[in-house]
Amino acid sequence: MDIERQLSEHLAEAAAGVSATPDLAEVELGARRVRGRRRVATGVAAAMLIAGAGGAGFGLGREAGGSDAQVTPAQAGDTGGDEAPAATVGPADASQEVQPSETAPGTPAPGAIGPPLGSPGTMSRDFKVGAAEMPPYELVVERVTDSGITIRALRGESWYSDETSMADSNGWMPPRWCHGDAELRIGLSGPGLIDVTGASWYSELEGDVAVSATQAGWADGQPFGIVVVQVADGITEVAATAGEVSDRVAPSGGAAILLLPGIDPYIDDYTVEVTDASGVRALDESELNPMNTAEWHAACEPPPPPLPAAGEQPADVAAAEAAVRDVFAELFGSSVPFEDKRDGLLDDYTGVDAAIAEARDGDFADAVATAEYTIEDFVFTSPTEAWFRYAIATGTSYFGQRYGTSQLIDGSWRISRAVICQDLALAGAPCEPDPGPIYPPSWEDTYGTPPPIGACMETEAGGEICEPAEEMNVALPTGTAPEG
Amino acid sequence: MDLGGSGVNNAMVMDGAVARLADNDIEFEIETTSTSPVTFTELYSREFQPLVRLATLMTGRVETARDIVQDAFVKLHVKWPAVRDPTAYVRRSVVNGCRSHHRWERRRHGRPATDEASVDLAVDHTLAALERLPHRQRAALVMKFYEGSTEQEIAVALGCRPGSVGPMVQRALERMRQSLAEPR
Repeated sequence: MDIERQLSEHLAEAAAGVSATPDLAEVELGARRVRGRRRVATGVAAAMLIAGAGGAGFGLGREAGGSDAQVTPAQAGDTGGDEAPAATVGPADASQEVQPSETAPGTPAPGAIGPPLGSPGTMSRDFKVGAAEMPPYELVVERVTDSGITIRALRGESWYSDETSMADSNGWMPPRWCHGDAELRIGLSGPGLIDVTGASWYSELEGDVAVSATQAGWADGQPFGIVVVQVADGITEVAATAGEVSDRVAPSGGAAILLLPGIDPYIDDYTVEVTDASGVRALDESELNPMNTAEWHAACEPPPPPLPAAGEQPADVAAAEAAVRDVFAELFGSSVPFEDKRDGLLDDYTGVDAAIAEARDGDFADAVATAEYTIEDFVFTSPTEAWFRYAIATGTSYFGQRYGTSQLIDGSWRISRAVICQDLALAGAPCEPDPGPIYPPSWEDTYGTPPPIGACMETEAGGEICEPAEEMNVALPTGTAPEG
Repeated sequence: MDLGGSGVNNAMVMDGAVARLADNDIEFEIETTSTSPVTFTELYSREFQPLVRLATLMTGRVETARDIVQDAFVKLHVKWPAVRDPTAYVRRSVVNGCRSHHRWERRRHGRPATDEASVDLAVDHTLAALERLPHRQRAALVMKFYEGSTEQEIAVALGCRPGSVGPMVQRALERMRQSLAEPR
């Protein structure tokens, strides 16, 4: 029997025996707790309230009263003003219903770690409202949207407002347009909605726009994407669009603040158009996310630590450099799968194949498709060793100031195993053993002592696992890309 | 409180392709991809068991699968007004929940969860080989050969390009062949 048919039959057979008890009330209870948690998640008091509610977290079926914890539909539907899907069915087994304990306001609940919110003694005796000297805030934008939501944005100083805070240990400072150097506090209010969030403010613009995005409304279960577009004089209107949602406004105070209901700007794609005397122009990716461009990194990061000093050179320098660049390009080229070009590329293959296999099925496999590798600097430190600095650019990310080495082995140049392993590690698939990143000797002069390979944690079994970058959005060598 | 199933009271009305918040005065409209009216309750009733079966095949444990599915519906419940395609959303949440489960097990035990995860599935060498696959490969095979999902649907659930699905399935099948060929 072929494997596909065999698999289909076995999966169907296994699934046929699976049955679980639905419980919509449990879902509603969990949702209610999430909403409650979000409302109070802005302070230490949140921990007290959640604990007071009978259990931190709501691991469904396991915690917060266990799998038997259910509420009646009427209780579940009492969402206290939350917009929520209607409850239309009761628990699967009414005999299992358990009334959740309701704690009277001001009464510490069993297991609570402190008094509930609003009770005497919640605040430290040393804390006095207004005691901290706050910098003045200036109203920048105030508008009311067509749906009746008021937006107020106030600008104040931030830690970055002190120019010297951007300086590195050598006194190098980026241009002011590189980073938001002031804080914008944005408040939203409307029927059933009140929230405050923050965004960056740029005291200088590189071109005629600077874009930052944030979100608000989660506390009320109504996500709103907020796009802040700072503009130069001459721009008369700004529009932001995400799917079918859009907003359009004339800038005031040097900025337009646009509201996109239901949009998470950290996840959802959005576009921005600006209008000036010459017409309408859509901002390109480099304007929406300048930090993902090589140009931004070149201008806004300290000069890269130099490569080691040149040593004795190969007899034919040009041919040797071309050979190293060729093998580097072949290694990270996307046209040929790694298995088919494997031999002759690396000085050591220990753990590489397994790491590539893991990376291919990892979360960042798709980033490979757009990854481009560029050698930016190159030097021979001896007739048999070369150092180079390279960068990786994907459609959404840029990783610069990466270093590599190459060795002449049996008459042919090979890329060091540590080069591909450091990129695989960034993709969440480190080689075993992990050689760690490559740093030139000058690195420490610019950035200080190189960081350790990655954060490690002990397992219950007494072992140790190190996952330096599993959650990082990084690129893989393009040669490791799955086809298609 | 309406308990009868219309889903109108205190909720949202899915009038064709447009969802509107109905229990307050915030008047914004969110496009949905749903062309037929569906309430949260209807979606839950329709999708719960199939999703539990899917998650069980991915995690190997019915109770774990149920928790993952319930958590996915909680997330959907919280974000209901903003979700454009509730079915796809909850399905992807379940797949992500299974992935998180695998990661958590790996961190907890320092290895994939497969050694312990098969308690609820009958002893089956084919399924045992399936369990030894990385999460994404396993998920792709389950969706393709159990659900009959298209590459597009699998890509949506896994958050990858459709073009990646075919090669991923082929590599997974090859691994299974190798695994089944090994002496037991």
